[in-house]
Amino acid sequence: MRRVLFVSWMLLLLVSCREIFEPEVVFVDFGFLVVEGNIEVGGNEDGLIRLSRTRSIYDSTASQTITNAEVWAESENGDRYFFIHNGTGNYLCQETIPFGQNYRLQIRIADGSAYTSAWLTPKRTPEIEEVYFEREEDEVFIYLDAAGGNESDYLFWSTREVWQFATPFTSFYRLDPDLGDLVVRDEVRNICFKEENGGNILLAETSRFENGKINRQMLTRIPEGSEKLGIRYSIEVAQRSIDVEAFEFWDIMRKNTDDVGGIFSPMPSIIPGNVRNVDDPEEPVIGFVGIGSTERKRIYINNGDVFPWRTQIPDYNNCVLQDTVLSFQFSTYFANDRFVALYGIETLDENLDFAIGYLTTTLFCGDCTLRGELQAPDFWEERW
Amino acid sequence: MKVKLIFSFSLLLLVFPQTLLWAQSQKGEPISGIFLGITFERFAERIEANTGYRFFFKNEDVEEVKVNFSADKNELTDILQALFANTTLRFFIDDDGNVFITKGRVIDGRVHAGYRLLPNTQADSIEKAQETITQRESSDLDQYTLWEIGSAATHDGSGIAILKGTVRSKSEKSPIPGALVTGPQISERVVSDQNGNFSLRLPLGRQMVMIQGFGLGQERRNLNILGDGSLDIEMEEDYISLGEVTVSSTRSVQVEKVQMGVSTMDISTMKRLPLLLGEVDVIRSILTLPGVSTVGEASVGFNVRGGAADQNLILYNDATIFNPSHLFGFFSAFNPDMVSGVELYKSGIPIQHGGRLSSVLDVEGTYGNDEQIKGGGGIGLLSSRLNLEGPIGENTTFHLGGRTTYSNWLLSLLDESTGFNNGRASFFDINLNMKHQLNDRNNIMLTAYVSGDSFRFERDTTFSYYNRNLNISWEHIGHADLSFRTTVGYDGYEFNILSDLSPSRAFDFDFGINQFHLKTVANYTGLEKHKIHFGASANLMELNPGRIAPSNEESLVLGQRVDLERGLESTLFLNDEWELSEKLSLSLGARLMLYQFLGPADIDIYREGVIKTGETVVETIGFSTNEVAQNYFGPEFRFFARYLLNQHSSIKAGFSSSRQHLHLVTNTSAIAPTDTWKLSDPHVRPQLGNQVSAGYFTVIPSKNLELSFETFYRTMDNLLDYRSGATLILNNALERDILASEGKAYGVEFLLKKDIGRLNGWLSYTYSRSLLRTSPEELGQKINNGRFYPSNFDQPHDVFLVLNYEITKRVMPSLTANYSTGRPITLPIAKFDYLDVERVYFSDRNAYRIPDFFRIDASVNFEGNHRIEKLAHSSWSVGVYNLLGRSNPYSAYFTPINGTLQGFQLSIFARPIPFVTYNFRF
Repeated sequence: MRRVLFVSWMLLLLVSCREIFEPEVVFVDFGFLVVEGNIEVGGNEDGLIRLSRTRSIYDSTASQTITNAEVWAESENGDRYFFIHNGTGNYLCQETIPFGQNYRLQIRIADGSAYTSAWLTPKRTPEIEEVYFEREEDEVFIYLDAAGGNESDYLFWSTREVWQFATPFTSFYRLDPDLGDLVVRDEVRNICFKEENGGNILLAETSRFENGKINRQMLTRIPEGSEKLGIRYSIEVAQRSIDVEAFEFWDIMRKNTDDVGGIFSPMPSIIPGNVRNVDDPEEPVIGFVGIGSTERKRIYINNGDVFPWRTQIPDYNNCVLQDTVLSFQFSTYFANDRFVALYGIETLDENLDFAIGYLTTTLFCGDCTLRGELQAPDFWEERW
Repeated sequence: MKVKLIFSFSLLLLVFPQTLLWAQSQKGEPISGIFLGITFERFAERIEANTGYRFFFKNEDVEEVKVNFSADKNELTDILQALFANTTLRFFIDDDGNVFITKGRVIDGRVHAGYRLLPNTQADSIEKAQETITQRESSDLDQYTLWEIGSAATHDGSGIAILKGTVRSKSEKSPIPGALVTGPQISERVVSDQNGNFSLRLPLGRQMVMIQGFGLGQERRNLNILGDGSLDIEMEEDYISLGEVTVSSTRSVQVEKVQMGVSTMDISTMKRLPLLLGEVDVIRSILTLPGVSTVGEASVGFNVRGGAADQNLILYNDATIFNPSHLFGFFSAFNPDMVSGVELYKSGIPIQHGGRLSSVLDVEGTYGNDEQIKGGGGIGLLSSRLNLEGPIGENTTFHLGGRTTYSNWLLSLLDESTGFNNGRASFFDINLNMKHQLNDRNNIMLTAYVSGDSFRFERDTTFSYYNRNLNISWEHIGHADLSFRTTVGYDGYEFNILSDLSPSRAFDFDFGINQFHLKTVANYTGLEKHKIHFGASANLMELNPGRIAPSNEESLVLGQRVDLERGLESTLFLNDEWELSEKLSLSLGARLMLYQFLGPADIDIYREGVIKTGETVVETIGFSTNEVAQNYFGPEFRFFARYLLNQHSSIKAGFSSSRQHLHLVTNTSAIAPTDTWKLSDPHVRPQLGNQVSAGYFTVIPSKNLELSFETFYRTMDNLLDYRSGATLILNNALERDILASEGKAYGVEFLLKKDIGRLNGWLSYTYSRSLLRTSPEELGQKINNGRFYPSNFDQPHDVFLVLNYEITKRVMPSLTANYSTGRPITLPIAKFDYLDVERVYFSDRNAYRIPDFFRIDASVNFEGNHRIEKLAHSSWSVGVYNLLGRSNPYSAYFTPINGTLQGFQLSIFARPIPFVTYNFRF
């Protein structure tokens, strides 16, 4: 009897089952317009609008951008401020748009369709008072303090992180194909920059805090052993004042990104935007054009600032030194970029009694450009 | 206005003048006159005064008889027959005009030859005079004895006699309804009614009468009919099909009753349905009825006529069961041994119930038999149950039952690799029902119920919930046609999550509801052609909408508590069922409901005309304890009319409205264990519903078929939906996230039913739609731009087939099949990049559907040896749930797999699930 019951219970657990679900609709490419960005008012920086189209759910290609649109901000007085295409669907407005008026964004796409945003009232964004980090046990937390001010009910932050990382081995030599021999590298490729856009949507309702002042708003958490703090790390935070509609938009976008559809998951909601087709208000358009000034602040954190910090890069867990390579093997090893030479050591040769052999490792373990960029970003400040 | 109208109907009848007209009458002569609303005693006096008749009776026997007729040269025999038609009173008129009235037994001037006739019978007291031919032992002797019925002296000479009697079970002495009384010379088909009574017309002379109960074997009586008389028969019950047969006398109930949208199901019917793991399940059983659907197999919540699951009032002997489920929704919380049957009211809700928009599910508990201590139980794969019933002392009976699971140790047996061996799931429920008869007119009933569930998927977080109910009813059958029932009780529900993932994050979260209720329902039958129900009720609800607290000293969790809510619902109600003519009957009812949201409470007042947010609060008003913060007052109407087309069919129409002050706060499609409740307050208005319905009901007696066809249209207002991204748990200002919605639902329901015969069952089909839209008055973002959209439980087509076939009395296979349209779902239809992260764009709310649902279940019930002397009687139920192994999706969702979104459908029971259950009685 015990056994019967046991088997039956097993059955119950196994009967629940997950299968592929592919309704036809997921293969349809709707190509809805996606509008992302801000009308920057006050001249702190350039305004940036990005235009793209949605893809079908199973489409694995990169985002399809719109490069041939006319984009401008229009004031209630009829002043126009044009956003000029700057490649890959980004439209920049370098004119300074003044406060004191309401604006709306106008978009004309080459196929003749016209889109407009609602009228938007620019908001002044309070300055970021301080961005700072604290080490708590084995993790590092980065916080922000800001004064809400009178004009901002809600604050929105986006972050961009950049850090340096090093390969486990450093290659000082490269194969000169003409000579067929190793030569000293002009630039060593062991330290690179890696960038990550948090994608995190950070929001706060300033009215919930005393005097609208925000203290210790957590921007990100760097877990124990993260490569981010291995050498030098920088985070830039952009702060914007937003109104309640924008808050609602970002809040839903944040929630929709979380897993949806489990047994007890809440129903997903539609993202309300503020852009619509002039001729067909029912056409879905995704995106919420923001307006106002942007405040930014950047801080750097060196590995020494959080000492001791043991860095682990899981990508490099399999990196090992290979056998030494002698000169007659150079083309075999190094010509096809599978391996890199680190440095030479004396070795015994059956014929010559003496030779220089080169320690080697795989390209991935000796060349950081496979994971990042060698070139420092424009803003990067070295610590010395 | 409408309420006043009803009152005036009743008044009109009360003041009707009681005119009396007396014809000069003598002994044996016909009687004329109008006798309206007088007692039998008074009636007898008048007859004695004007005729030669002399009456002999005990006052207490005839107390309940109300005389209400007019006679025009009628025979006293006919009059008395009519008067006593629905009572246990019998009469005999001797040659001298002495009228003997007795209870239950008939006096026969010509007693059976086997009995000694007492001398001076008629001069003696009435007790001595009576002799009956009620047969007490069912034996061969009974079968072959010649029973003399009636007296030739009193016979009217028509050559036809009327034989009345009661069929009872031998062991329990309970009346047996549905027993067929036939004979070679009996032309009509006579079936005993719910009280076991039957009445048939027979020619005088030697007769044979056979009585067949379904599964009761057959009794035979040889009669010598001399005149009108009675014959009580006791039948040996056969354990095979005890109570398994739906009484055929209920066949016409659907046709005759005035209310519509009412479905009943008795427990024996449910026991034959092949259900998940062989657990007899009240709620899953009613899903087989038209107009009832569910969003998924793992949800015990059900949807009636396009209404949400929280719009159903679920009662067990007047106790509100807030969470009728066990094991996170797989099983319902009712122990089948403690249930005699259920009634589901989809529109014709009895006047004493209300406060919910969609339906009332009235689960009737049992109070135990009054003969002997008995027990029973069952052993299933998942749970076992045991019950004990019987009398305590002379006037008290009880029924105690309990259920528990063994899933806990089963889970712990599982291999570690399954990941479930740390899981725990268990439940129990205990019922105790008692009934005490104070005297003939007063009964006291007690219902006590506790259920508990506890489960965890991981070692660190335990979910648990409890139902607790206790109530006492006093049933009083008063004089002057007035009887009433008063119930006082407590209903409670509590939900708890205890987490101790790490000491710093340990918390204890709970919410709950307590309800104290008092209700009196009176029943007045003093007016001819009127059945009047009226009464009053009060219901105090106390709600803890949510509370979180650190569960140890190290915990960093901040304690937080949503303000407690209190509301008082007071109701006055009146319903008159009025038989206008033989064919047309009306049922007119109204409930006046006053709801008061009581302090202590702090109510935010928002600026008019803007979205409610923290910024638009103008002021906050504090209310002290028991101060009324908000009143809502309004009526609920119940109007129904029935017109009998002929003996076998009727048409009905009705209108009903309803109000609901308790709302389930849920953002998921199913009832989730974490759903909490909310009372109406100054911002959350009561849900309002209206329903019109019409139907055609008929029986085809020759085929034993019952057929009904109903159509309905409903509107619903002030339903709760939520703004996108609303926080539902621990939200002290829920009104800021609420989006008032309105709904409409309409459909047709069809039911074809065959209760009698070896092949029986039913086929139900429903076509219905259930649509919602954001209320046009709502500010800000509207769902689907304010258009109507399908609700989560909009399943247009729903077909259910139930077939039972009796191969022999011991082997009975059953089959059920269910098809329904897949429920609506919101799908991701596109993806895009925003803030450099790939994101998903969802379709309009509920714009798509999950695949259709189709399932077949089968089972066979085997009855064991059914000799009455056996120590215990047993039966086996073996079956398969989801015989075809079809994976019916419960839910569909998209989740990233290797960076690409992939859609999945989740089926809860995707394979055939066999089950076996052993049941026993002792």
